[in-house]
Amino acid sequence: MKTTKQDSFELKIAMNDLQSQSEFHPFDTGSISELTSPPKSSAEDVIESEFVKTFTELVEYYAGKRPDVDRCKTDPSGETIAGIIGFADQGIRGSVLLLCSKSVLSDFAGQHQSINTDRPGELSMDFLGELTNQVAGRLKNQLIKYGITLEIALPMVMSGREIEAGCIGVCQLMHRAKWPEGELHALLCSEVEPGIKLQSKGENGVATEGTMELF
Amino acid sequence: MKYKILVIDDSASVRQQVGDTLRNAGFGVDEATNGLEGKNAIEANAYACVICDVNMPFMNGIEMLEALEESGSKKDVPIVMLTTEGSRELIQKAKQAGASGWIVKPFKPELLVAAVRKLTDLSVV
Repeated sequence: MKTTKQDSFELKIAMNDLQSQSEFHPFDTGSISELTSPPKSSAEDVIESEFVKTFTELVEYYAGKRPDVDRCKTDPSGETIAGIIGFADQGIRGSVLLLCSKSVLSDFAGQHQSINTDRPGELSMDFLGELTNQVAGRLKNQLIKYGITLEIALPMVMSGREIEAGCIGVCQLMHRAKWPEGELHALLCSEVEPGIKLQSKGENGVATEGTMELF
Repeated sequence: MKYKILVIDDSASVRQQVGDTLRNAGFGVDEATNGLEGKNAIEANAYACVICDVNMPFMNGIEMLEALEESGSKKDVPIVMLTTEGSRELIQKAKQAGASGWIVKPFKPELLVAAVRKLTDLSVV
């Protein structure tokens, strides 16, 4: 998993580098206040709804309690870690970005794993990458019932101060999960080609999280 | 003698979580960070079981299964896929390529230990 440690100026360069490395090209960067998000299509509504469900369930699993999830426009302040992952299918592309403060992440990670090596910071960052991967993986599993099979890239993690995240020209929605010990921000950027409609075909038959099958 | 399990995942935090779970259950644990490293380790060592992620750089978990089958070096070691993926198509592909099981992350530690014990036929370690 790729990790970078940059200040906020260099971080923007790193995110542009990510854009050039990714075959999905869903990103651009800049302050959210500078950006204009186009109106959502109904397909983007479906993706958002499944994303919020996925994000809420995963935070609940790791935090041990159900978080309050709301939309917000602000990025976390102070020393921040960000995990980012791209996804795409025919006519659909986008990315998931998770952001939180270092202290919240350490508490969050510590609840489910004993970070007892001499590099706890690196493991916390790696854990955020894995969390980003799990959000995208769950979203992929949920969208299968709409006939969508997303290809998911590998996650990338970076840290910096006052990270401002955003996407230009695609629908972007920032959500915030809050629980007593902290909060985690999630930015969903998605772009769906006009004319694509997502209709549920009922049960998707995917294996669900936490289950095991032996052959 | 401790039975050795190989854990293959590109995420250090997952390797630690899985490794700690198995070590606490009495197993020895080796680690690899992608399918290529995993394949080399399986060919060079005798493992009671392998826990393997699917999406990894250089060589993913399914490609590793296929490469082991093709080279005939799987040595009948049970390989359990541990991944966020849940699609039936992918599960079927892994099964055909020689996987012994599929666990969807986030995993329950007791379920992982039960799977390893069942596949290695060890009721007590």
